[in-house]
Amino acid sequence: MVLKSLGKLILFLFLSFSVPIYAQIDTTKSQEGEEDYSIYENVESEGKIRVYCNPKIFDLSPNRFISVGYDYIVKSNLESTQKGAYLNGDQFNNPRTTSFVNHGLRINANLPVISKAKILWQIGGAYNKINFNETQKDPNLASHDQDELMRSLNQSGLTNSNLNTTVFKPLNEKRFIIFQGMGELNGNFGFSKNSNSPNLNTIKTSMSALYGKRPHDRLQWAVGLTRTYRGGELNYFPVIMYNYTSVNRKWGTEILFPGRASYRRKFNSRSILLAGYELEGSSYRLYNTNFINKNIELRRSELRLRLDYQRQLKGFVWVSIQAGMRYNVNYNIDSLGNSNKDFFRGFVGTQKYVMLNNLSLAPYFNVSLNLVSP
Amino acid sequence: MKQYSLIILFLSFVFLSCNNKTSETVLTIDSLSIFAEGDLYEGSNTAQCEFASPLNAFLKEQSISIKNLESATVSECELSVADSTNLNVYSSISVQLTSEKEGMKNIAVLNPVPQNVNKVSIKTAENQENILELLKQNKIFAVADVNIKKDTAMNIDLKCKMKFKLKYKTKL
Amino acid sequence: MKMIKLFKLLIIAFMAIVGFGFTQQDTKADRLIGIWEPSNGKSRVKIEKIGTKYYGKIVWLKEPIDPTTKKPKLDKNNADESMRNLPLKGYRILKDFNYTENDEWSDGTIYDPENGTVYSCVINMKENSVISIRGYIGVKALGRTDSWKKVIVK
Repeated sequence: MVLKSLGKLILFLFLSFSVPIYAQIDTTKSQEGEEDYSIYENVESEGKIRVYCNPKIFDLSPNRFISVGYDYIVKSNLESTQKGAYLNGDQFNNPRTTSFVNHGLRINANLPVISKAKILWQIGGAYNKINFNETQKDPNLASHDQDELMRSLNQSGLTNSNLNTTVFKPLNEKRFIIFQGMGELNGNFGFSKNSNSPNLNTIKTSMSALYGKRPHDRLQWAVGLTRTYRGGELNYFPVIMYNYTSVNRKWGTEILFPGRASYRRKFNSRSILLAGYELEGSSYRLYNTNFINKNIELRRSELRLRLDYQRQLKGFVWVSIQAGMRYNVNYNIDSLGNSNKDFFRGFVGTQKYVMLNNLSLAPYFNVSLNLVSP
Repeated sequence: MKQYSLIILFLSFVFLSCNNKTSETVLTIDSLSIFAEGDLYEGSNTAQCEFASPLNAFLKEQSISIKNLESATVSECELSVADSTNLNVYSSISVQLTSEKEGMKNIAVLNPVPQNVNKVSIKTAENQENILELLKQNKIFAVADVNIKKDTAMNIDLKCKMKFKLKYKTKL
Repeated sequence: MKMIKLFKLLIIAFMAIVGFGFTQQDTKADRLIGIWEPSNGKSRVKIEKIGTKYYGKIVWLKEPIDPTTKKPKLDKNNADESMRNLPLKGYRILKDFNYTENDEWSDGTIYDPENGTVYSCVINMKENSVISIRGYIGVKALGRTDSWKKVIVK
């Protein structure tokens, strides 16, 4: 009797709760015939979310998570003074000229730490190697201070390495702020046994802060200030960002002046062409370079005028092929003396260079494989 | 002697490699009824049908082992309605296949829909991935997303015929 | 005889408990069904269920007409050229989501018609009327999250 009652109760429970399994909601079957697009125009929100502006606009060239590339600069002529004390623009007395080819690996990574509508925070790093292949010199030439510079560069090349971070913080639907910071360790060091070891006291820091507006999906602009070594030595500049895409979505601009500016032509969603320039540069510590002066820094900066063709290979892997002309901006040498503290020369400073150098105009090529972001 | 052994080994390898060739066959599913009950309103509507995969039965009939199958693609997709009607009420139709373990795949799209016909062949997608894996599932859903030009009281009742091109290995 | 009866009762009890559990699971999973609007307000997506998986299609666009062609927008950036005639309104941009646990729908993909790219995707429900959708490449760390709010037809 008890068992019978228990059985009935369990059966009741089973029927009450289990039957709905067999009536699983398959909404396309049950709601066919109730689709009417016009009804979706008049809706009211059940949920509340704050709206923030997007860090990108339509059709910008893709952001690179990881980039591996090879850079090659065709033969350049380097004209140098003897060691001394020079202001920029001083005459070259008793100059020496030598030729070399530059080439090397470039690896960059930018990975998101936080990637949400209300904040985007990335950290990144870079490793760029510049090798020097000097063409053979006449062995009968008299010695010159450039010989010591070239010995140093030929032995180890130049290494540029950095860690950087970028924060994009939208304030509301249209306004945003950007902050970037970077620490660089540059010099004629390497990782093999006989290479020079870098000194962490030579780390250079750069930063930028911008405030901007994104009025619509095809325009984004910002203004700010930057502390930078792109000119080869410490300087402060105003910064202007202007990213634009045309109504027909076929062309646009990507400008972060004075660092870089490009006109963009979009062929389709898988290939674009950029035409413009980029200012690249930093200050490199020359270790074990017998210049007598202490704590030598090579102030290297160049303007690259270029065409950059970018194309999707498969999925999120894109290839970039650049070709252009490298125009030298700065290749002079400073001594930081006993203090080893970098100084600010700016455009009107009177601190003197230890050696002046001129590097000739040269064509360059760059190929890279890039993992791009959504 | 060693040299001869190596040559014989190499030739055997070449022979074995060339011993397989790829053949093709066609699996036809011609009885799918993709249905949605009216009334239907202007805009996007979804119709679907669930069917059991005929792959195993077909392979048995053809004496092909499932292990020898290399790939499958949808080579033809034909939609039709009853003789007394036509496809005029539809502005566009896309057909997809999905199953519980395989993702949804776009099979074919028709935009615009030709007027005053009751049967049409739809151009199939160029990129078709993992169709073979889909066919290996027991249960498959065919889903048609149709755009209706104006409100109508009729049902969506599309008869769908699909041909799958199967490539498989055979021994020479 | 009594043991056999008891055994049968236990089986029925077990099925009742399991059935109850599945029903609860279905109810939780089906909270995703409805109409959702991304944070940029430029579209509305209707999420529905086919079989046991969840799919979402565009049912409204803020700017439905292509300014270049002056006709309804098509999927012109699709990697497959044969699919570029498909209208965006009605396009399934969310596919193949399975409900896991803890208010998460995973194993799905999201399609971005702006560049014709498909991303892996996971949906989390923060509250019943707000979901976060994360599209990513390979690992979740390499992606971006957006918040969508639920809307109801007036």
